[in-house]
Amino acid sequence: MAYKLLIVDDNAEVRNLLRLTLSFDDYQIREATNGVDALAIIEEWRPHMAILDIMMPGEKDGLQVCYEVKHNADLKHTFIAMLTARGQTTDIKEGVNVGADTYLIKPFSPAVLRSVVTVCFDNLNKSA
Amino acid sequence: MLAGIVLHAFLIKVTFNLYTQGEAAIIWLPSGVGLAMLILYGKRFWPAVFFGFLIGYGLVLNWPILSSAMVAMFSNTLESVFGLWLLSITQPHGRKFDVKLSEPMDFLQLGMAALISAGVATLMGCTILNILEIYSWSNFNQDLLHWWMGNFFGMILVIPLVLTWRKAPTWCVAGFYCKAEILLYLVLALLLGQMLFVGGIPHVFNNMTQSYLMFVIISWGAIRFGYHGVSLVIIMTSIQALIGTATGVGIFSNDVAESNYINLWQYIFTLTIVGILLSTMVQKRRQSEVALVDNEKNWECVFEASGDGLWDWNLQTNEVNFSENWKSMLGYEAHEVSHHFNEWESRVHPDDKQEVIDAIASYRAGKSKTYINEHRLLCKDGSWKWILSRAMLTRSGLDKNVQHIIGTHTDITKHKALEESLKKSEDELYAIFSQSPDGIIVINPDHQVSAVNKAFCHMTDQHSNNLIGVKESTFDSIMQSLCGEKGNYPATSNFQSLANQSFQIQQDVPRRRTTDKSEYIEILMPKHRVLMRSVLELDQHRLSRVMYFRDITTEMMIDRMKSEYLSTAAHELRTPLSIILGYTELLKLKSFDSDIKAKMVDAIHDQSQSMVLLINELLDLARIESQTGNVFNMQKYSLVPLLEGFVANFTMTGDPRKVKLIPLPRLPELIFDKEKLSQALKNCFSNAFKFSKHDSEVTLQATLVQYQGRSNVAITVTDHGIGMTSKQLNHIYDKFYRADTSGNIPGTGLGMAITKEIIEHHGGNVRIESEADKGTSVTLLLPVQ
Repeated sequence: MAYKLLIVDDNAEVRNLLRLTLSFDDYQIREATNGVDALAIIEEWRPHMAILDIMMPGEKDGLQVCYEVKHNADLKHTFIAMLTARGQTTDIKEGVNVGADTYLIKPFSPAVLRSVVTVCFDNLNKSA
Repeated sequence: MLAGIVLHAFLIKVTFNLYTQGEAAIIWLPSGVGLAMLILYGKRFWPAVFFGFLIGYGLVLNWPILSSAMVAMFSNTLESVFGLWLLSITQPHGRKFDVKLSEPMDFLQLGMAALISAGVATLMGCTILNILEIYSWSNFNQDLLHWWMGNFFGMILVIPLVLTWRKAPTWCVAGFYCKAEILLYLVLALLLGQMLFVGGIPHVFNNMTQSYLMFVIISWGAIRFGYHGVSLVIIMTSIQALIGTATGVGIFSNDVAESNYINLWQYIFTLTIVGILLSTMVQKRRQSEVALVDNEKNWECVFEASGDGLWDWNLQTNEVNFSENWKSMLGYEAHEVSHHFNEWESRVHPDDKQEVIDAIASYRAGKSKTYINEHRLLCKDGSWKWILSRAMLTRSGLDKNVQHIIGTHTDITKHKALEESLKKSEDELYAIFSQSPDGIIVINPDHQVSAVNKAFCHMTDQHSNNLIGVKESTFDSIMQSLCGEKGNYPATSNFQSLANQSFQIQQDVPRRRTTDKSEYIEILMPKHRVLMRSVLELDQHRLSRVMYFRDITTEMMIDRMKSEYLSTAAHELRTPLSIILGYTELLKLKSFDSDIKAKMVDAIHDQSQSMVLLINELLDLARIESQTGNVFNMQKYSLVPLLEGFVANFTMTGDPRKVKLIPLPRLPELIFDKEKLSQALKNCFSNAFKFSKHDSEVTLQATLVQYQGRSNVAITVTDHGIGMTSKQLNHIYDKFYRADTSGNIPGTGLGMAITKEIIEHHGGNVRIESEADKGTSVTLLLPVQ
């Protein structure tokens, strides 16, 4: 069974890029454009991994989504990768504080992103 | 002491040899030497007297009359010691006997002591000799008198001579004429004495009358040569008279022996009293004159040195005696200023005159205890000098009924100038203090707040009355309360002075901070402010200090905004960059289908373009905001043709619509930058196009309106697009704020910020009305000059 992966970003071009990057491997991919939608999808679809942008329109930003996922007993095993343009040390700390598993900074290299995702699912395989 | 013994012995021998025929000497000089010796060297010299006698008698007398010599020796020693004791116990008017015989009283004291001590010693000596049957009782009275008077005269003649001649007379060093006069005086005295008592010189007048001449000589000596001259002549004359009388010549020789002696004693006694008293008086008078002159000179020196001018105003004659200093102080020579009161009055500065006159009148009337006044006086060169005048009313001088005012004038021009400049600089400093935009607190050496400026009161919303005079610790707690419960105000009241450091070193008390260290203080009341405080120590010993508060709230905010702006701008560049980077990397990794590839290349192109746009707009904004260089080219234009041109030329890529121009009314000419205004309009047009559907209308209207009491041209761009929520509307001017974040609608989020900056630079305003799903209308208001 292919792993389930959620891409959350308000910028369509970024989502497109991520989808293309991940198209090298066999994943089930869904997209969300804001935090509220993302949470709803995670709740219902239960993806293995979510790639979250931080600054998004709407009531919930990426950090909030991450916090809620990691504080929900049913959802907290979801692997969260923050992907954002906010690359300062304090921002990264904030991300780690809310429980993000990894933190990627824009602009990012598709190859690196791909390997991060691959390693993540490999680990998931091993632990399973 | 040895010299004393020898002298004594010698004198006794000489005296004895002078009149060997008498039992006792008529004038017994050794008595005088004995007492003089004790007066000068103290009573421990009595052995000198004793042994002097012993040796002297031994030389003179034969052994058979040794017993009388022994008695004389004892009684003479007793006499000297007793005489000294009498001198030491008698202190008329509490005054001790003066060895210099400076007062007539000293001489009287000496005479009394001599008389009593000689009397007692003689009485004892005579009685013993009579008991031993060396003298006969029948001659007791006569022996007693001879002995007594002999000793007494010996003392009063020799002692003054010895005491005065201990110090050389001043006329020893005097000039030639003075010396000649002394020589003449001595020679005349010698000749007269010789003529009166010894003979050999023919008598001119009656013997008795001639003897008065000696008083003339002695008076001359007393007046001209003082004690020294008088005592010398008296002793000389006494010896001459003694010799003459003893040998039976001279004026006292033609009577019975007994009355000869008595006459001689009387004569010498009177001569001595007259000579010595007169010379004492003269000397005393001379000394007091000298002292007076000295005193006067000293005062003159004092005033000369102080540079003060002296004046003495006779209130009866209205004449004023001005000192030379006074005259030279005003630049005059001594002869240029008369004694008239007017000399001062006419020189007083007209502005000060009334005040001075009043002050003098009030002092004279007794209304004020002292007269002190400051006024200006005109100098010879036309300049003004500030004078401090101090004076007193006296009745001194010859006529005690005449009132004088005596006073000094001190030149205080320099002080005044200094005072003025001090006051001026103080005023200036106060102006700086009160006008300073920074808060200043001064703490005095008593650890109290002594000064607060306006800026500080404004900063902290405190009234200066509530701060001035409070203890530093109270001030600290006021500040702490302003900082809130969580805040921390670094207190200064517990600073320890560096000056006391050497006396007590307490580790737990913080030392005073160095002056160049500043601290940041955050206060919450009356509103949030960040203050930078620095403490300046004025004086290490007096502990006063100045605290300086600078409100850096705005600077801190601007700083923060700048860094936020910068990080946002960088962030905005990251999104297009990540797409460009991502797509290019993907293209390198794998070959995609040609349609996907084309889309990717398009995206790369679009993102690159949006980056160029972003960078351009950032630069524009920075340039407009900083207002550096000639960014704006302001000129007078007619608005209507320009607006028509903008509308006609504006097109949006991929959008077939045109802006609909609502017919324009007549509009006044305006002064503006054509390119900047067109940029502002373009931003409005593109927003209107971007956020509305392709079939809806975008219109431009321009009218003349009244806005805030001025006539403005209102250019309104209206669309019927998606509009904005009120929340979105709040952020409309925020840089990089975008209503649409999906990336579907291109843009930088800087457009409205730039538009606002441009319009505000023209003195205008931007008004936006918008409703979600209904549309937006943006109005640019440009004031009519």
